[in-house]
Amino acid sequence: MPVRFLHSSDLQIGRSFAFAPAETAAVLAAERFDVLDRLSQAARAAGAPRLLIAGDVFDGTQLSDHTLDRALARMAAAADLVWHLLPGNHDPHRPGGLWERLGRKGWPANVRAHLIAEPVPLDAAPGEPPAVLLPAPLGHRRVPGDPTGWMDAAGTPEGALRIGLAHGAVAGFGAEEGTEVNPIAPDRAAHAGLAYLALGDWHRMIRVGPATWYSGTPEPDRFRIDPEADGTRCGGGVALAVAIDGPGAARVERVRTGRFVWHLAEPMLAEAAEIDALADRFLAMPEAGDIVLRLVPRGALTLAGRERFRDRIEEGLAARLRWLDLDLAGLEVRPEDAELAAIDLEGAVRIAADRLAAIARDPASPQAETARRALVELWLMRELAR
Amino acid sequence: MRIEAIEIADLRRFAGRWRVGPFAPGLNVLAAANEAGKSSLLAALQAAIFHPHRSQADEVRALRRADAGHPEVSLILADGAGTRRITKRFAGPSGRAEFTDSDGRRLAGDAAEEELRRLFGVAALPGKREVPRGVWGALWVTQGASFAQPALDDPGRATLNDALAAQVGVVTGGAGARRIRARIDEMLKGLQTPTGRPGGALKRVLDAASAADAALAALRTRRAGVEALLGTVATLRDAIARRTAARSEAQLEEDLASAEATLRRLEQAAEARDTADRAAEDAERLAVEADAAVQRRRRLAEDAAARADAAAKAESAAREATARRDAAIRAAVAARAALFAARQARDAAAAALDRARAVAALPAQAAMATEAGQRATDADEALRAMTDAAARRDAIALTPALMKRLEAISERLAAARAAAESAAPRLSVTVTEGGTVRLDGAALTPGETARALLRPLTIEVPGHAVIRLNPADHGGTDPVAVSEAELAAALAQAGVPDLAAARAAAARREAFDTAARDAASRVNALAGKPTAEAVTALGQRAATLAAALAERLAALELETVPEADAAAQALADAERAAETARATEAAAAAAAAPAEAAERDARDVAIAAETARDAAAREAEAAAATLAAAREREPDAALAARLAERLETAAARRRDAEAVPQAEKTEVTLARARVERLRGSLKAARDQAARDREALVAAEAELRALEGDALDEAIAREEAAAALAHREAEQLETRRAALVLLRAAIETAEREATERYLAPVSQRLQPWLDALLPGARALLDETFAVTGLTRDGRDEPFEILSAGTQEQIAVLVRLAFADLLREQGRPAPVILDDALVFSDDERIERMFDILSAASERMQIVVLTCRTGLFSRLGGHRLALERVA
Repeated sequence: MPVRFLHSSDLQIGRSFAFAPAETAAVLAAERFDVLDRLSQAARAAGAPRLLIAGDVFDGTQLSDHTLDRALARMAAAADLVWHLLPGNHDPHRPGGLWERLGRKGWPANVRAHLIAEPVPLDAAPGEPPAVLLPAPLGHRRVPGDPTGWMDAAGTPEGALRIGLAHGAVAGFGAEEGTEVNPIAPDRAAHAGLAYLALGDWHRMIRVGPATWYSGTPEPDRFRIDPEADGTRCGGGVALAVAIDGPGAARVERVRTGRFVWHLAEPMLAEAAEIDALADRFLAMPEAGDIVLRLVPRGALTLAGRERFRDRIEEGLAARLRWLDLDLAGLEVRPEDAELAAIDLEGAVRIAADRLAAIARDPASPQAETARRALVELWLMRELAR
Repeated sequence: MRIEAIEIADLRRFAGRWRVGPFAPGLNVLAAANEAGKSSLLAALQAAIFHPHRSQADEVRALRRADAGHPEVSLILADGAGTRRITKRFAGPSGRAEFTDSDGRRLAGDAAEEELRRLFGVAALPGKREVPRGVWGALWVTQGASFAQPALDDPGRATLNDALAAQVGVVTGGAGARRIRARIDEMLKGLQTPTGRPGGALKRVLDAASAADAALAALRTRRAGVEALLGTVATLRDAIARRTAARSEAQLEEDLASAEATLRRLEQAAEARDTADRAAEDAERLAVEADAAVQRRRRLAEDAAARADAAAKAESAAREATARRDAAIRAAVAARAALFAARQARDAAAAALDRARAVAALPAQAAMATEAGQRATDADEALRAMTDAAARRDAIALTPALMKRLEAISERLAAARAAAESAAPRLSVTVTEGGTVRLDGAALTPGETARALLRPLTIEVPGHAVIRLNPADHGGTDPVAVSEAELAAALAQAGVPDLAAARAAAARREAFDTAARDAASRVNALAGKPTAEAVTALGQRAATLAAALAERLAALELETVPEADAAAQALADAERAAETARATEAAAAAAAAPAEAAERDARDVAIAAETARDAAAREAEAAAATLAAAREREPDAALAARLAERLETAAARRRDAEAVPQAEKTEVTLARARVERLRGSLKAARDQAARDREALVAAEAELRALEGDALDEAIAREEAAAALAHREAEQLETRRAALVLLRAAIETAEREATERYLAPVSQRLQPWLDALLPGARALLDETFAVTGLTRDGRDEPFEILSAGTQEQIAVLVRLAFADLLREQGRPAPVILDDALVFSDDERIERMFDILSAASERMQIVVLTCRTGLFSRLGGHRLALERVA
């Protein structure tokens, strides 16, 4: 019978999502707690009696009692599972800090906090082979050297499976060599004789090697497209169900745990049809209500096109999504003569519109963007001119 | 079209039929006093054009007279096509209207009304009977409305627009632009203040962003404090752990215990030696004390013997001193007696010298008294002489001044006589020998006799003739007579008969005066002043000197003043005797002084010797008593035995002490220093540990206190609030900027379009404005209203201009309108009723010039009550004349 566990990380409970509107931020923050239940369900579904959380359980160290109590209560509620927690760079274990505070509160019976870098035998479930957990807690946001370096020489009972639990950046994954924060050697599992090295820090799932994995965050939390995914979808939202039959025999399975789907789209727009296609694409997604979309359109639209963008995207699509985060800096407005005529055929209003259009078309004018906005405003008021 | 004449009947104050006209094509002035009916004339004109003949509107009713009749108005108008006459009678339903023209065409009733409206280019609004005044409302200024802007109604503007061949709405953007601007303004109200500063929602968001930034900064500061506390906790815990691991405190405690034991051992050994040393020292001290007692006994005995010897010597010396003192006293008494006698002789010689001196002074004193008495006598005589001479001088009335005057008169008389004689006829008589001729009775001697005829003269030739010659009578002005009279009067005043007597009297007077002055000089020389008082004082001084001399003689018991030589000899003798007595005294004094000094010294020596003798006796007695008492307390033998015993005891104790081993002092000192050092180190270590523990407890307590603040979450919340506020502010600011730009673009376009549109009016207004306000430029809006002036580079709103300037500009705008219409082939008269009432003298002159110039191109009717002032306006004078 293999040793089973659910590998997750970067729960970042207490995160504020300050970049989102208050209502959305509150929902996203609350979801950091709800995902604990989904992790429990995923562990049970995988037949795992335990969860290994590879760091960044919390988003900070100065959190409210309410936040801490709520998180521990959710973990305690899954009394049939054991939670193995590791301090990461967002919630490092410092003397007098967060983890001592949690200790003073009293750890739930099914929660283990690994605050010292020393081997800890895992309570074996019936039929499971003996296994030892080698945790590498972080004492600061940045620590010198490889926090997993001690694992190579760590002694464990003969025959026991060695499972590493760490938080940091594996060299060569996403950062230049030598510049990673809390760097971890990519071949640590091999050198330390680990059957599995459960890593945290990256928010998307990454397979470093057959026995070295980043689980990513169980609930997505940032606009960063997963390079291994298609389209605009961002990373995160999964946990890893791990079963280890023996050294070099770890079986890893991805399990979906996220609720909200984050997208980052940077479409080039010029025609009304493209606006419609963009809106229709997201509206057609079954989880549209749980989609968080950052839309950074580029290109140039006519006044009519800009009005259509407002109708279809800013009003229509935004109302259907959980949150539409718009960045319109790259979207220009280029009024056509016919549109200016539609504002007014002659007279002062038409003269004003022509002049604004000239400013808007002049890339050297510091007022070009303001003039474009003014034209859009005028376009929307054009009925008053008649 | 221009007005040719106006006729009114039974209208307001005009009973019967009245007429004004004919009007001139140019400037017309109807100047009349208040209530002459000028405004009624304009009201009648407007009613005739703008009210139907059956109208019962208030303005029409106001034309009626109170007594009876219905008002009637006839207008006679002219233009290039000929003349037209319009007559309206306002009688309610029975009113009538008639129109005739020079072609003989006649219209009545509504047809006449319609033709009238066509002529004036006006039309009634649907459902309205009264016709809007249109441009005429701007051209015809009623009383009291001259300073207001021309009030153009829609037809009025339409008329001008027709003249401009333009449509304001098309040219300027009109209502559409206004609606957009209104919408923009409404939107901006929520984003900025009227002065363009952030306001409304934008201000609220900016304030929120600032507040969030401030709160965030404060939270981050506190969060940094938490980090610092965490660092402190880590450091302290590490330090405590390191100390615990190193056992530094325990090692110190062990080292201290060992050092203290060593010190105690060394100190005990030192204490035993010290005790033995102290016992030996005590015994030695007792032996020393006994030895001292023996020495003191010996000194007592020696002292008693010495003092007894000294007492005997003092007694002998006292006796010798007493004998020497008595001898000295006797010598001194003899010397003092000799001195006393010498002093008495000296005093007697001095008294004799004093008397001799007084006697020797008497001759001089007597001479002084005698000289003073002579001087007083001389002075008295001189005073009398002075008084007598002065009296004589003053008794002569002829003063030097009067004498001087007499001499002057005499000179004038002589001159007058010489003049008279030279001018008088000369009488020359030659008496032949034998002949007899008498002049004034005195016979002449033969020969020739010549005389000047100065007074009547009688020539008698005896027997032949008596001839009387009379010189010319000068009637009292004869200078000779005048001088003679003057001389006579002066002589009378001087009390002398003639000039010779006068001169004699003057000589006498001068002699007396000289005598008086000489006597006064003498008195002055003798008495110091030429006065009786000085002379009297001189006498008194002589008397005083005489009395003093007598008194002196009496005092010296002399009856006469001795001779000076005898007195001088007596004085010399006395002086010699006195000098001898003084020498004798000095010698006696010199002899007495050493005797007295020797006496004093002998007395002092005797007293001292006696005192010393007494003291030595007392001291010898006391020393003997002290020695006796000491021996009684402890005899000399007992004292010697005590000393021997104590010396022996002391030697034994010292031997005992030296038998006890002595600890090295350096060893004890080093041991004590080590103990102190270790105690200090231990205390410092314990204090440091205590401080670290306290600091750790405090830091942990502070951390726990901060935990409840959930700073990370609070920072996240404030970051969210700040980010949201900044983003909202940026969005609102962007929108505000867009709206501001949009509004500015529209306003600029409107202004430019309006300026182009209004250019014809402005062009016609500007020359008049240049004439009135050189350099000024009027700003008009699309309703043709002047919104302000630009002068000297500054914009001045119309409202803030003076009433006079507003009024003048309003008139100029009307002239510009009329000009514009004229150029379009639609000439229209301008009527001004009591306009320019606020203008000052200079401005009204300019306005008169402008009206005169304008009237060359248009018909202008000026109605005014200011007959005097407006007489300078010129123009064709109108009058209201009753025609029936």
